[in-house]
Amino acid sequence: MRRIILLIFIAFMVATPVSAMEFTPPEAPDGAQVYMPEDNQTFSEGLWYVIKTAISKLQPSLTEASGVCLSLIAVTILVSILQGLTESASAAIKLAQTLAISMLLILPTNSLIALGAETVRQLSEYGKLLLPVLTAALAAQGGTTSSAALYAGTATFDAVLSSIISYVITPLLYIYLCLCIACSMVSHGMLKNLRDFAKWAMTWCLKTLLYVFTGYLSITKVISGTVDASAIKATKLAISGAVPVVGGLISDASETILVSAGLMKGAVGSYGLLAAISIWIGPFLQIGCQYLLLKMTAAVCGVIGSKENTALISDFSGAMGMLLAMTGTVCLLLLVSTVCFMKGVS
Amino acid sequence: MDGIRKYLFGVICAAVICSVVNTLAGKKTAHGAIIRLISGLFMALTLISPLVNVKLTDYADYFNNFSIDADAAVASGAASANEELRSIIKSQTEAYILDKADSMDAVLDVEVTLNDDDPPVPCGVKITGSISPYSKEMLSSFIANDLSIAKEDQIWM
Repeated sequence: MRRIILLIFIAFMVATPVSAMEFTPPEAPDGAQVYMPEDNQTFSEGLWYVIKTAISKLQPSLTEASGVCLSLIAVTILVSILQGLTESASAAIKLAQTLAISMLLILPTNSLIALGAETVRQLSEYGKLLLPVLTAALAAQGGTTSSAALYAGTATFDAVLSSIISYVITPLLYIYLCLCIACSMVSHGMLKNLRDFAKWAMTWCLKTLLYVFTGYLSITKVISGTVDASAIKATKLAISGAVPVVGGLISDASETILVSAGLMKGAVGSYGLLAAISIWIGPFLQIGCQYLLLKMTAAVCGVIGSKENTALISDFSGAMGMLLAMTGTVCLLLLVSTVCFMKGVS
Repeated sequence: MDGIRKYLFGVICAAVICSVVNTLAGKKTAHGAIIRLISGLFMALTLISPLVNVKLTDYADYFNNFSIDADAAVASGAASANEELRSIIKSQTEAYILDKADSMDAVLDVEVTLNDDDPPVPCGVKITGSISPYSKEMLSSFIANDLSIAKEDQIWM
């Protein structure tokens, strides 16, 4: 006990504040902590750890998704046999088949949509905590114009995207699925048009926002990067015009600040990237598994089942694809903006 | 965003209602044409009417908040960098003066003050300790020439 107290005392004596300038990244949320690397690893090692952990935790979801797909194939085979045996009641069988497929798929799809929406919310919340730290670090490194423009742009696009996903795309996804089921039951032209419109609207929203965001980043990088580079050059000129000794002192201090701010920004950015990937990777793999397995099931059912049956399963896999795009877009937005912050002033 | 959701729901509901009404009315009846016309007008009104009530100023205010947050984050980063820069310049200047004093066998306490320029420059110094008049004169000249701290800004105690 005495040794422990002595050790703590020595630790307090030795611990002196190294720097007044400290930028610490926000901690990854609880759900993502399991994927985060424990030790101080390099970014590539950390990324590899995140991927390995995510794959190792995928087994239950894979088993569940396989079970659903096997049930779908079983229903399709059963319906094919029934249709072969009774020619007269084909309409009733078709209806029953659509209902059975919908019942099998609606529960896992609903839970995956909720998972996707939650992932988007978590990524957005994490971005709100990470961006001010990166902005401050980039500003400390001399990129005041770039950091302000990057922060304002990323925060705006993130807010718009997460609001569109919560209030438009997620409800539209449910409407889309309802329309798909309705189309499978009654092949009505109006319903098909509405279904196609819902799918087009969701894809268009995500694509357009990503294109506009990429364009904004490109323009911001050129304009504000030049402004910051000029400001840094002007400061260096002012320093070189000072008294040699004072100029040397200021120049050394400025270099130290630039290097330490750059190092801290790199560390915060790397942690932020890993945290964002950790939040995203689990749900993405889960939804991705379901998506691929449904695609495979649709292909198998296309051989043994009816056209409507295959189309309905394909539509559900399309909804999974939309979920993948939804979570992927939000994550990509956060990753790209973090990398832009890390790149800083050129 | 809630408005957009309501708008989309409204359009889809209107489309479903119109399609049901048109199907029930039939294509070849005399009423069918009138009903199609009315449902077309209804659909057009549903599409256009919410767009009239959109207030773009609300959205402009919403996005303006991000700009304010960005400025606050930048100011905090720049302030902490400036604080760190001041601390480094102050300690390095003090170390420089102490090094000169040490070469003159004087043991002193030095406290440098910086001005508020960007970047900050040493503008004053408070020196305490015992030093011979000759060494004091030498050190004072060093500080004035090398660090641009005028003799009247040097406080000897």
